[in-house]
Amino acid sequence: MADTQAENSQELLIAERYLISLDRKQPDLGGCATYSAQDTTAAGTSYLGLAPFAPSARLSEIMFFRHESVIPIHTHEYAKGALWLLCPHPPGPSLAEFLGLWTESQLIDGVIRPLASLLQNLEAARLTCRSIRPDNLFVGQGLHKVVLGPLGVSAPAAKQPVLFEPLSSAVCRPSARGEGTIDDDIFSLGVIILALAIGKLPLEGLSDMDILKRRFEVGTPTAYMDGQNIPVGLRSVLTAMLSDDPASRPSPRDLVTIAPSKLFTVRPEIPARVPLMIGGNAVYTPQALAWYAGRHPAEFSGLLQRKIVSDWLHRELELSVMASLIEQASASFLPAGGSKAVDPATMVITHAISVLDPAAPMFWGGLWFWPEALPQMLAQATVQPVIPDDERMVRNILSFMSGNPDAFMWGHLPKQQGQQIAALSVAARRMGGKGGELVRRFPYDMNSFLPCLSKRCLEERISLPEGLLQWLNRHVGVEDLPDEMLGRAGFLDEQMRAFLESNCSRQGIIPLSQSQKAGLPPWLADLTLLAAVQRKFDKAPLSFLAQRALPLLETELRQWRSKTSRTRRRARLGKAADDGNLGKFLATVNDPTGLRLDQRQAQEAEAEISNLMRVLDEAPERKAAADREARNSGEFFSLLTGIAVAMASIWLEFCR
Amino acid sequence: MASVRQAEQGSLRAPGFRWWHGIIIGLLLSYVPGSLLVAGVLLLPLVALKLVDPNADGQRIMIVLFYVGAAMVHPLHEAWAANGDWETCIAQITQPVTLALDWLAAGAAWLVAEASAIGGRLWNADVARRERKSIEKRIAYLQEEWMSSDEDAPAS
Repeated sequence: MADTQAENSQELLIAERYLISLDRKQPDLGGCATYSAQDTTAAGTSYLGLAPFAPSARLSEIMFFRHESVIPIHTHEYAKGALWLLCPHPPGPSLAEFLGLWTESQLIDGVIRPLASLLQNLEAARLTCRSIRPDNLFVGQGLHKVVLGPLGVSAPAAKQPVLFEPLSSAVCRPSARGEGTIDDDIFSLGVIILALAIGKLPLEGLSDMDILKRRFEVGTPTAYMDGQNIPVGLRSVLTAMLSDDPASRPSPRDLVTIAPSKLFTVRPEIPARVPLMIGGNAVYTPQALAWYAGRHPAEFSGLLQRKIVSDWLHRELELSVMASLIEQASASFLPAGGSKAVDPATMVITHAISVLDPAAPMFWGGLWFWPEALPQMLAQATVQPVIPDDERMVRNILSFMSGNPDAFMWGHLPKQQGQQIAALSVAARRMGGKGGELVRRFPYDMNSFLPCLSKRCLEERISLPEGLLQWLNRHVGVEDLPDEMLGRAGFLDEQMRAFLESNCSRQGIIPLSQSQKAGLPPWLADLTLLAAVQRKFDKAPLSFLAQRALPLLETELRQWRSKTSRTRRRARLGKAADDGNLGKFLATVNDPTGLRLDQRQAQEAEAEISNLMRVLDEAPERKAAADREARNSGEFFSLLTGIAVAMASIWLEFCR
Repeated sequence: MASVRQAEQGSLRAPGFRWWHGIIIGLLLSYVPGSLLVAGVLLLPLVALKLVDPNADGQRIMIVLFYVGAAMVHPLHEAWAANGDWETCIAQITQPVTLALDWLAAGAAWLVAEASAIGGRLWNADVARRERKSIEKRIAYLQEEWMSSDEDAPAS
């Protein structure tokens, strides 16, 4: 597909049709690198070429989603195994460049209704948007109607600023936010409406942490709207949309039919009369307590053990049900003899937090996350660890959670989290692997658009197995892969292996089981995997790869005892390497039947040699026997001649 | 007299010598003493052979007997034709050509037996050598094919 000669000229021709100018970079669209592109078959048709890295796992569904308020994805193509998306230019500058001050009717007609209708359609398609933010909203020149950038081109909500995310996902790191729900999109929409109504972003200039603190302190609607000059008709809808309780936010249907000054009712949240002090902060609501519990787990567990939390809930907030649940949760602080892998203290905090704020994400191992986002988190941690130990930590969480879903299934686990954990464990069972390999495969299995995360080829964004094969074929030289490393670690690194195995299993082929792999040197196992991938996905020859493997396989030929068959196979190997067909290449060496035959013949030859040796050793004895024999036959011969002579003599005497 | 000595020697060497052999020889001595004399004299090479080569077995004796027999045909025929006439018999055994032929026949028997034995032995040795050569060749081939490792494996 890719035109390799265009590489030098900074132009990439994909699908023999679209020309992407790599030197003409455009402002990022939807959070991924964007270049200008042209359709060479239709002169003057200009597109934007998007190079997404780790797009949404549901991109294949999203690609077919069309709505007037969203920039459609025109087509998708792979070049050298890397995904390229083509979409038309946005109608105008993004809101990040200039917000402007919109009137109430402009907002209703140009923002709320179109986007609500978009969200309604998305909801019907069981998708979410999670990309409503100023830099992804575009306004045509002189128009007051927004258009959203292409959906799904980056991981869900990964590019969302904290300001635009509801508390339930703002507390997570960007990669841990997960798909979320339509309610989360309603919140983001609320923020953008607010920003357009007041002409600037609320809480401007504060750091993410300060924004969160402020929101937990007084609630998001108050924090964002206090002291702002907001059109009266929008106050009610904004209060509802910005509500911290997802259930209080209006549905897309309510917003599509919105009329000016329509009233929405929100169940008011009653803060505690007396705050609870944790980590030097005064906490007025259970939600805020849940968040601070995650920030100060030691102090929170102290409060739990001393029953201060349950007392506070009971007396100051009059939430007696929650108080008794918290009491139950903290009771399990005592060693309960549970699984060793679970730290009871963290588990109790996780439990208590889910009781305090059912809408909150899961807090475990010091991280806020939605379980469904774990594969994406792992991918992110592999590529860009936030802390040095990030990858290992996420991997442990994912491994434990997918392996022991029951450990989390307590009675008050929020339904959404429970479903996500169950989905993870189902996926893990389907994958069938175990240990580190399973966890490494998770991101690839859950997201078929995820590029190979190996550090060696990360830049290339290779998300097709054949692309990786071709890349490997070009990068197997000694300078890329020293001999010593090749012998020890094989052709692939762990990420590549996980990537290829995941792609293979998606096609229903299992190249090598764990036990089979254990007996092979890593490079041979890699070659087998590569051969399977080549057979399945890509018929293009991999000559360089095969040439590189040639000396290694030739040493493997020593198993053959017969010299001629070694020579013959070596010649065949060389030819197969030139052809670049790895399957045939490997089969030349990996031939159990041939090897067995060879060994049997070798044994026969050995037997024959020892037999012949014995014959040679017995030669003197046989010589003596032969001499006796010779003497006997000589005498027999002379006897016969004697008889003949005697008969001749008699004949001469009497018959002549 | 010669026959008596022969009989004595026969009794010494041949355990199968029986009393009726003596009777036959006695009868022959009394009826055809001439012919017996001729036979006895002409069989002397056999006696000499026995004396020279005590290891000579029955087979060797038999061979020599056939050759000597061939030489004896003419003198015995003459003696027979003369009805065992003593004079003729004496004349026969005193003919140097007859005696020489007789001794030559014994020698020829000896020579043919030994020569053919040696020839057979040489032929056998040749066969054995060729066989050994082919076996060695086969072993070398098998060892080359199955026992050698690739010292010529390409380095890179």
